[in-house]
Amino acid sequence: MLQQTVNGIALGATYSLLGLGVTLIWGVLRVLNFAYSQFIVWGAFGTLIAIENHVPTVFAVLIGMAVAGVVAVFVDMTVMQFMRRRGTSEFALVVATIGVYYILSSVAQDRSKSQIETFPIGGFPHGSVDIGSTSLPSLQLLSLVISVAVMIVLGYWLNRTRLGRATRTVAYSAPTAELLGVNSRAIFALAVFVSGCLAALAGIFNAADSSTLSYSDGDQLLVVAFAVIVLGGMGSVKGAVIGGLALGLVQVYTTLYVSGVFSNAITYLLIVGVLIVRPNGLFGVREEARV
Amino acid sequence: MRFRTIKIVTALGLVSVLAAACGSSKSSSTPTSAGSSSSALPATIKIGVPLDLTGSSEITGVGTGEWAGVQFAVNQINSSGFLGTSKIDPVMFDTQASKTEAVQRTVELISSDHVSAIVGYSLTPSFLAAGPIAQKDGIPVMAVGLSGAGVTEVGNYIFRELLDYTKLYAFGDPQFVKATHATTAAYLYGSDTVTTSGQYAARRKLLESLGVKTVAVETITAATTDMQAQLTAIKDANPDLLVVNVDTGQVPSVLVQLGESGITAQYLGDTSLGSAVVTGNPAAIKAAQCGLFTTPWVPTSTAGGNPLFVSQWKAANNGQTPDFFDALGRDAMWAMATAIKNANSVNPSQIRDALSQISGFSGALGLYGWNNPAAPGQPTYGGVNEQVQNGQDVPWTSSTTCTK
Amino acid sequence: MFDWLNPYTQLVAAGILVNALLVLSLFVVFQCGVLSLATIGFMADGAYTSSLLATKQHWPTVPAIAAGAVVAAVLAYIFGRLVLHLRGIYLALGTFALGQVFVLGIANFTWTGGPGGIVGIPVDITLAELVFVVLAVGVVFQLVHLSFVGRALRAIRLDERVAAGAGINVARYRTLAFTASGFLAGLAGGFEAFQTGVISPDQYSFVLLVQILALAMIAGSYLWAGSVLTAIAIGVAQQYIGTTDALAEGLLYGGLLVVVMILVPNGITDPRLLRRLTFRRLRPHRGPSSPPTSEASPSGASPLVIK
Repeated sequence: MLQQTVNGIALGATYSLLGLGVTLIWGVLRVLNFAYSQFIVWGAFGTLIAIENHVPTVFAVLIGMAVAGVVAVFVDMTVMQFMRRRGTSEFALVVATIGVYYILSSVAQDRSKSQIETFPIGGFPHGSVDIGSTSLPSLQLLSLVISVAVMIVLGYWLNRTRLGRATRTVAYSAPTAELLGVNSRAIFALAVFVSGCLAALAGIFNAADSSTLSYSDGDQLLVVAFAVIVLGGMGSVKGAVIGGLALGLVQVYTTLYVSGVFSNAITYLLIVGVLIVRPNGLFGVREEARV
Repeated sequence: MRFRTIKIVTALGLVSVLAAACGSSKSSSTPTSAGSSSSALPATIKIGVPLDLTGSSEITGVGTGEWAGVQFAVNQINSSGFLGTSKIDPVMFDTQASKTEAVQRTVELISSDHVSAIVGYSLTPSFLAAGPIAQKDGIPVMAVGLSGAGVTEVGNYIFRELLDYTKLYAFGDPQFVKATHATTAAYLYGSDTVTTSGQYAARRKLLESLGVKTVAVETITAATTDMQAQLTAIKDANPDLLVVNVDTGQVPSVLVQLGESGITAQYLGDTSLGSAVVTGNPAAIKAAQCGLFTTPWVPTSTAGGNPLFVSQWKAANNGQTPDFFDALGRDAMWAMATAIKNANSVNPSQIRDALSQISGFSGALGLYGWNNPAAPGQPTYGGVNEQVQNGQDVPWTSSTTCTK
Repeated sequence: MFDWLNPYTQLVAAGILVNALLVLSLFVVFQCGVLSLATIGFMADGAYTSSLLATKQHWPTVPAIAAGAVVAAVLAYIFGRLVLHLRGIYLALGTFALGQVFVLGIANFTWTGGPGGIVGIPVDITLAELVFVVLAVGVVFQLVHLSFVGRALRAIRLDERVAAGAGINVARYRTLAFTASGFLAGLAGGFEAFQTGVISPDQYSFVLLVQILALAMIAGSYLWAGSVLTAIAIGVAQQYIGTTDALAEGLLYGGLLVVVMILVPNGITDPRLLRRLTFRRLRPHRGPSSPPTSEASPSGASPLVIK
């Protein structure tokens, strides 16, 4: 029982990372980005290719993060920025990200020939840390540490630094921010780059956990990310971490007390249920209707 | 360089002619020698090859391997003059693991391309959708690589070359239970595919009939990446055996996380333990140490025409060892060609009759046929037991020892 | 009626018409400013209901398909009332999850055949029947378009609040549109099941949703005929392009989605676009095009929630 709770937290650690990236784009750009699932995949493939070329694991991880960050920025600068300038509706933006998702996914599928690649895990932490009678896999412990650290850094950045305040101004209103002398394009690019990096990190942890990688790995993780931000409240950094851990626990308890068959369905049920009962998430702040 | 390739191909062709002449014409009603032309056959014989090459993670290595095997066989058949001056023209479609695609392409193959026979289908659902159409139109099908039940039941025009896996388990599992003196078992299976859930059900029934008590049943789906919760539950149940039937693509994750979990139960797997996805993954194959499985084919098998197949394949593919799906594709196409030769006709119903009479077929899977009246359409080979030891699959007998 | 076509062509034509029904199922909710991603889930509901009735209860094909569509409509009505009070992106996310819940639910029950699905569904729908159904649906759409219901739906899309101010019961019309969307998706699912003879949960996939969404977005939310013609045109074009692999399909549909969203976010049947094309009044277009929702543009928004 205690061990299973630890398992849930370990599972939730990666989910938190996922949620942090999505909540950042949502908070700053107000876009629900389906292409995020492919940032996860492209980042992990970047790391895989780097490892295969004998790059030390730590640098390979950084390369993967950079790849996903650059892809994310590229998509944003080409498609999204163009649409933002034209004042396209929210729906059109969502649909465009679905289009981008499909393009990136089919390229990844074609390049990997639909195969499941081996993800070398030699350079990643393995084994587990024993605490009393329970044990926590080192890999998940690391991802937990990273997501809490990212949460603190993001929180500090957005609330305490000049750049962070600029980011929040841009999130509030890009034209107003421009008037105040903030370069909103640079801020958008920065937020998108960081969120791409976080996507890659989550994808890399996921690949290291299973020692495999395929072009479609991001799809399920995207749904998880959506569930996390719905649970935690869209745009809430703290909510993303708590939402991730909560989802991990719910999935583990479902597997344990109901059946593993439903651990997947429960994610979607949670999204629907929470949206119906508390549309702003369990930890979100109520938004005023935007007219 | 080019010349050398041609030479090799020619040499292979000659060798395969000999092999075919020795092995596969036992039941042939027209024992013509391999080189002579058979006038009843047209210059090109169209055979449909619908395979799932892309589309879902379940098809990892399956469709592409089968297609490579089919092409290999077609090259041998055409260059050796096995069908006289007639050549086989494979009409290939990637059915993308989609039933709609499988149905549309099968109708297209039959009504537009007018194929004489079909050698194809990768996943059981694709076949279950498209098979009945071929049956209704009277086109013989050699189903490649389907491991689920309910294939030959579709009708008398349907043949399979891979055993229903439950038959493999019925062969291997009782021996494993006896050797390990196991009394309890835990099961981990993929609940979202018909193949893996069917295999779990059959295996559990079999083991329980052998007196092995079920102490835990855990499931994963294609979306599961982390299985700590399932593995902890299994660990708490402390079983003697851990019986795993999940998609081949997920086996590495199961193995790696199993390795970290501290579970000591004897691993009973399936053919995926011998697949490239596992053997090519250092972390997974290490964690699979001492895992047991039963398979219809291993590269080192000396049954039937396998040694010849392996050496020919290596010669044609830069020394690379063929994998299971290459072997399946190769045998399926050779079996169809043998039936066409024996029928000396491209009439679908005559090909069907010839298929049902093949015996002594010298294939990669052994010396077998499809002529067992008790199991129409099903191949007549058995399985071999294997164990993973130090990154290799080695033949297993009850006296084999293994240390973790 | 279509016997002169070879069986393959008939099958492809039927597939295109099933897609047309699915696109209409999205169109009917777009019309009143709702982006529903639940269509594939309702399609699965309709397909399973009709197939189970036909194989287990031995219902004749036509009543079975009709029952499937009705069950999908009832589910859409029940759940529509629950999720339709959400706005904007939350609504899109809610409908997306709802559709997935249906598909996963079906996959996990044993009486639905589980992951293996249902085999042996009678294959006895003719192309003529399907053509007739699509035409009949078209007639209904045209009548609705001309009626006050059609005007009310379009008013809701243009501005929900103004529409409410004009005395239109927004919630009721949205529920009505969502129910109709469920009905059409269920109908499409039923027809598809009786075309292939086999169904299983995995075919109601995200990729299918993306493809249908692409068609619906290209067609836009103004003319129902645009939806049908777009589905047919792209379906036929794909046949002429020939065998497409996953990459080509991804680039085609994905690329179309992106390009259309950038150039004509309201689809090719946007009246203003049509007017511009016909009268050649090409003037620089900079201002915001009318959004299909009541939501403001993404940048003029509420504060970021950070704590």
